[in-house]
Amino acid sequence: MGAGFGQMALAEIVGGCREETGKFLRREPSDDRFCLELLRRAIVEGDQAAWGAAFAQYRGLVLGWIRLHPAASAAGEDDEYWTNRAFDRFWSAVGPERFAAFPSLAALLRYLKLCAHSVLLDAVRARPPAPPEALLDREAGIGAAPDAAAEVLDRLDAQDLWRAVNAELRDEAERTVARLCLALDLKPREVYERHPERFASVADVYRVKRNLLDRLRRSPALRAFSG
Amino acid sequence: MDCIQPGTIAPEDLLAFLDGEAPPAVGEHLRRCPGCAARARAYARSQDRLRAALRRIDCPSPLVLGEYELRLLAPEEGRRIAAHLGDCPRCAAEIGQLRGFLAAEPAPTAPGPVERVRRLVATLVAAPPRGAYAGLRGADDDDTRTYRAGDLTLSLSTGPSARRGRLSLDGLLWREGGGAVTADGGSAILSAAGGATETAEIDDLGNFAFDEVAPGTYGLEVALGDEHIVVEGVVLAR
Repeated sequence: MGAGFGQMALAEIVGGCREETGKFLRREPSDDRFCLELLRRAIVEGDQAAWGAAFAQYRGLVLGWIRLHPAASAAGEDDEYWTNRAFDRFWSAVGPERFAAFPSLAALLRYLKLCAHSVLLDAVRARPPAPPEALLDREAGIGAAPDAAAEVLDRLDAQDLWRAVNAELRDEAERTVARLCLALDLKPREVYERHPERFASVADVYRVKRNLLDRLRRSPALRAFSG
Repeated sequence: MDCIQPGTIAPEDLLAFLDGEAPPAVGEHLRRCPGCAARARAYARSQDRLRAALRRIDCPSPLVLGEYELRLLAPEEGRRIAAHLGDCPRCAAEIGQLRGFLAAEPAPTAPGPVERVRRLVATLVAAPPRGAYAGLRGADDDDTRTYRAGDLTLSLSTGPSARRGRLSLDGLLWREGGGAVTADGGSAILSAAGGATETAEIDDLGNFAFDEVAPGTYGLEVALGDEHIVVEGVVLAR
């Protein structure tokens, strides 16, 4: 970044950034330094006016990315909400100390695009998995029993629970089933397809899983969580 | 509660039923057997709670996965993520989704004010029509260059400035066929390589002037409503 850019008035930087972005969109040769300087002032100097201008400059771009993302419809909320979340993440994840790690405007905008992706994927991951009890209700006509432990489960520390589960595992087959079935929500058929060297059949995976669930349900440390 | 027909189904069948992978006979048995239905419900509840609490427990966040993809992680963390991806179909799928997303671009949206502007890059004309117009400027011995962009012609003349060490730059615009240059006025913006800009108004006859310009190379943009004429590499020298 030349000293000239650092000394320019913000209005000039904003105008230049807008102008050069227009050239870029028309596939004409363009100069990234205005927009890079705008983002530098926003991120490194914490210049609120530059933040506002950068948001205005790239809001439409991020909104377009959000609308393009395959997870947008599943994430809930509206596009504007995710656009704001993407910018929040971008500002906090880049930060003054990390700005130099992005050698170009293209690298920064690519990271902004990653932020748009990651806020949507966080929301998708946080959605609860489909409860097996629903299938039970539908197929076998069995109503779900009241779930007194659900509130406890909401408060538990997932890492503590995972450590407690791991303490109950006896071999590599159980470790595989715990990770793939409980943490990654794979079915035993999918576990067998990934690890035919570890299991004799799909039924064998079901056997390991049933043993594991029985043990977890008997475990004093896990009774509240595993029913 | 005991099974009404012991030995009909195995405990593993209850788990397969919950996955929708058991044979129809298991579902039929569960409808008739309260004891097995209760056991299936208990398994369902156990799985439900554990899966909800442990979901993606050892997976890196989508942002960290993305930083791995963009090679922004420290080498050691990058190796850890690579090892995780080797046996995590969920993260591998997310990386695939991210790659597709990064490669895709949104469809063009309605143009903003900047995009609506029609920009024309002026080209230098070999034979400037000085004879016809120089008299208007009252300077037929200056350094005049003529540019054309669409039906607009732009004549630029440099001359001495009242201020020592500076130059004047006079511009004249006209349209082929003699139409008005602009109905609403316009402006000419002279930009130095260092980023400093100077603006001059364009009058009804298409004239504009910069009176005290330092020698150097400039970019000139003539804004006439939605029409912008760009002249690159305007050299002002004594």
